[in-house]
Amino acid sequence: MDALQFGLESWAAWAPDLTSAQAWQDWAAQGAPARAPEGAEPGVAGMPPMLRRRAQRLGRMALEVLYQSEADSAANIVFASRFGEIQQSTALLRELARSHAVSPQAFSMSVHNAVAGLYTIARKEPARVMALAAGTQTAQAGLFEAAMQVTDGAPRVRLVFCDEPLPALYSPFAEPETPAFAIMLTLVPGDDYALSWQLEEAASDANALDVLRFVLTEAPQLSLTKSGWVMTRRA
Amino acid sequence: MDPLIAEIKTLIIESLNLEEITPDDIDADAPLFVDGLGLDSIDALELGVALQKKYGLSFAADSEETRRHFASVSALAAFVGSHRTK
Repeated sequence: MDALQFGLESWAAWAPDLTSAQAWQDWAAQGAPARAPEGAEPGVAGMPPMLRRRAQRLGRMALEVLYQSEADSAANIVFASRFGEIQQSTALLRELARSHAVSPQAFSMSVHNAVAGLYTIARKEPARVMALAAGTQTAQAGLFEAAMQVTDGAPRVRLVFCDEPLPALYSPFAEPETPAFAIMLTLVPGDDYALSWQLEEAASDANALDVLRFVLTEAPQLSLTKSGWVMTRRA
Repeated sequence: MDPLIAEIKTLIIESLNLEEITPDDIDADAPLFVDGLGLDSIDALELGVALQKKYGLSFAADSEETRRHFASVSALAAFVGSHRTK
């Protein structure tokens, strides 16, 4: 089959311990995992405080990377997060079990597309928003959605990945710990990269940090999923 | 200042994450919603839950009377003062 192709116009990323582009370049070059100290969150200085107050840390990280580009109503947003506002959702479930009265504000912001919606309201951008979660294949699903939108005629697609460590409650379902991060890749029509399938299994599914490291380094190819989807560098 | 008014201002700031506002910034007689403080419908629900928990109040979801009680901090303080159960 033909591969899905796209160009990459720009990238942005934020984590509690990696707050500049240079820090991310160094991180990618070292091939070392980013370790995220708890608690730190970005300022999101561009957003009006009355709207910013709604967002918790995960949302603020996503907003921080979105605000690193100019407002652009023609640029669709694909919001891809495996767990979304999991800290918030867990706290809501605990409160529901305890008191049967949950915070309407926290509930409204725990919906998966809420942060992207908050962003479009704050910047008055009538942009198309797609929010998705696809387990360990969230990075692959986000890339495919964004690449298909570009192929379908979108002039620019902002692909936002974000996640943070799971609350301790989920430790019985132990997964490799994911440090907190938000990443934005701005896809445009072009042929810098291709997504395709090959008859070769990989050891694990790639997460969004693996994708960013691939983008920032020189490797020719990244295995996106165990089942054979790959991302190839062409330019 | 009436201690109940000060208490309600603090409750509003804390429950609605008004991170850059102090109790002195809130005019007790100014409208809370749209104009004045600029709160919205989600804030109204949030504040309703907070008042319910702290003072044991109950509200009719969307009555004219409830709107009057939520008009300003002063109006809320008068309502809390006369209807609180804790």
